[in-house]
Amino acid sequence: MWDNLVLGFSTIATLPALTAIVSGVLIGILCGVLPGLSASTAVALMVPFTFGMDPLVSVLLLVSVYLAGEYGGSITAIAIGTPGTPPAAATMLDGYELTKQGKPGLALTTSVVASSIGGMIGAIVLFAFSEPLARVALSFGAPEYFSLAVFGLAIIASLASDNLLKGFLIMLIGLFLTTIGLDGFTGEERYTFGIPKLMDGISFIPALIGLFAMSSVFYDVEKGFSTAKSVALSFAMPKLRELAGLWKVYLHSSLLGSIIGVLPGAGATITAFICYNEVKRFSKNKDKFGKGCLEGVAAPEAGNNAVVGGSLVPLLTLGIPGSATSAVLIGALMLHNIQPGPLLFQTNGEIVYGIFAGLFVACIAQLILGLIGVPLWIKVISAPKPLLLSVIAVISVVGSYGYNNSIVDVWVMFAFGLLGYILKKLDFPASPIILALVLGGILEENFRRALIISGGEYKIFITQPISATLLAMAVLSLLSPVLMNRLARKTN
Amino acid sequence: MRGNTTGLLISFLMVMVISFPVHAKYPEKPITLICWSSAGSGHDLMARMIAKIGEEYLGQPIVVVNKEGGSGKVAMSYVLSQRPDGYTLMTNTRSMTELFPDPNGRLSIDDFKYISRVVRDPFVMLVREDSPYQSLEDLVAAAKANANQITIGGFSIKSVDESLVKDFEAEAGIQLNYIPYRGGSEPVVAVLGGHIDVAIANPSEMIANYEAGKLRVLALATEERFAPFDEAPTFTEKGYNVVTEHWRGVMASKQVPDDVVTKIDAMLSKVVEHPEFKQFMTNANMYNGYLSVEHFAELVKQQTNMQ
Repeated sequence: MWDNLVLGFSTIATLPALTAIVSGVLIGILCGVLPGLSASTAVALMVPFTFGMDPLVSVLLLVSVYLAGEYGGSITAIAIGTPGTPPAAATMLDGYELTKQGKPGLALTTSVVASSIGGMIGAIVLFAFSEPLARVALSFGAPEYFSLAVFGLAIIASLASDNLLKGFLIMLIGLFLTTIGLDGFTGEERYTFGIPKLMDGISFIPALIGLFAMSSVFYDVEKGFSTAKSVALSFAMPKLRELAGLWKVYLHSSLLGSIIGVLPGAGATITAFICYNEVKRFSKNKDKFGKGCLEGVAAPEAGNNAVVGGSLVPLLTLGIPGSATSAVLIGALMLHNIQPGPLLFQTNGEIVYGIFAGLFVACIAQLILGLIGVPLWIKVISAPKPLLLSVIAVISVVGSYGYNNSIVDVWVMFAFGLLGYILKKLDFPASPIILALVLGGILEENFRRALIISGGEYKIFITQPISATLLAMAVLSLLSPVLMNRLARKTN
Repeated sequence: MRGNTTGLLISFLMVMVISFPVHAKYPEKPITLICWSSAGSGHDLMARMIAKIGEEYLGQPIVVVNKEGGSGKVAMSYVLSQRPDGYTLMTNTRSMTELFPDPNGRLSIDDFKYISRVVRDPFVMLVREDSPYQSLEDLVAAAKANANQITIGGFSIKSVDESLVKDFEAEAGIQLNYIPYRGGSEPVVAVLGGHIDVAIANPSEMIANYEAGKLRVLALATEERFAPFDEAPTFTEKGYNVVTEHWRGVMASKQVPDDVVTKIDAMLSKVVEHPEFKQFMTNANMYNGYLSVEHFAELVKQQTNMQ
């Protein structure tokens, strides 16, 4: 095992490899920052540039972009309340609160530290447990994915704990929106109104940009700029002791992230929300969540960066993608005549161990570059509000269009901007929609697939042990806040 | 002396202008190649490879732009909305022919010129190594005894995968339980995990686990056996007439002038022979499927009418 580790680090101790890692991290952070460029898009855009490179160097570049892209999204989420990548929607819950309180430095620093530690733990998990985890990946079939999605949706209970009814309402709207498009089992068009672009459903990223970025532009413009300049931003950084005190959160979320990352099709967004929920569940100060607590920033960030290592497990051991991004990586590896799969450890061991080592070094590069960036980002958001809002509006339009070169996506973005604005006015939470948009497709598709496999028997969801456990956990997390409230009221 | 030079220059320019008819200038600006699939997909990689190598032969940059949506309808509508001057091309696949005739009547098979087919992607039918169905005969016998009980996964509905399963069911007189999946490798994963019994896949989606001895190929949907699955029989050998394959190519609006189409076809015929493209096909487990403009159009029409 140690031999392999040494082999890994020695294969990447070359100038081209290290350059690839550092530039990959830089590109990844910048792509993550831009709403509309998710980690998977960033990696896909980089693939053509690797055509002429050495296989290991190109893989290192892409993996670094992937890792840093997952981190970069949190910067925008914290700084301007717009997730740069979908998973950062969870980071935003507490991160943006801190910025509103004038303490962006606390959130930004915690985010980069948690991301880097999460990425490292993900790399260690990948190195040490890839074989047993590969079996976990295979054990998830249609009923298991359905129950995982139900569990994910149950998080709503803690996201909207102060008003569960409002949360449910918003979630149902989100679930309805995911039914738009082609029915995957019959081919019927649902609610497309004959627009070809809608056949694939509502594009997630433009919806996300609209819901958070555009809606806040509408809202702030209406409020007027006079009041907007209320909070002075400080450059205060968290104390080392505060950061170290979060070790339990890092560990908990990173392990959770690595495991969920292994499941093909689950992805970083679900992971970030589940980590947020779990850390809150076990935290002593539940009340602080959503009001700007560092735990709420650290949990989703450690989780979504640990996903990177996790999603490489099925890729390297089985040759199947663990996420949208690793699907792109598989294509890139095959172009370089590397066939990911069970034989990869034997045929291209140096590549596999090089990736472990590379992920590690990329985490360190991310930590350094990220920390250097913190004061810079604070400067950016200290810009006058009218300027900042115009830039956000322009980026929203360009990002939505650039996502798939489609003007329909820009209209989707504006429609969701309006929706987000109305929700804000009525004091409804917006994050349940994101959860529903991510999980709705998985929920419906696997529900129907499981029933086709079982011949219409609903008991398939309960007779499968993993599925039954997940459903039980879902019920538990739905009921626990309600029961806790009851209990608290009685003791009072 | 100066007058002589000027005269020479003018006459040279005159010759230039006269000897080149309008289309002979093609291409005089960058060409856009629309890809209907997402960046990073197998289809997208092919498009980018064509773009990279094709530039050398056309002398103008080829830019790949992804326009996803509606299984290709978005890309097709876009291409038809552009000027049909040969500067907007698109990649196509066999699955697109399944979209015709368009129920909304906006797109027709005759709207396009099918320039060349570029690659072929064959289909295999596979089970897990320890499956009770060790051969095609086992599977057919079990399916005859238990109609609709054996689960078989493939990519999507109204797809080449599903029609392959339907063909097989009709030929063998059996009923299977077809389970559609979203991505091509998902059914393979479901077979590996023991969630379904059989899967339909292209070689690139299953080769790694096949080489590791985790999968068994029951039959090939090709006319002849092919490497590295030589040990598996074709459906035809076993008496079932199931021959189908996936392909990818390049098309453009029907109004693009013929001489431009001929130039692009000539470029693509050279691209598929380029060592780098050959290496790409080997790495991606695809096969050279070059068909020139006349034959390609014929194939598309024939496959569309078959449905």
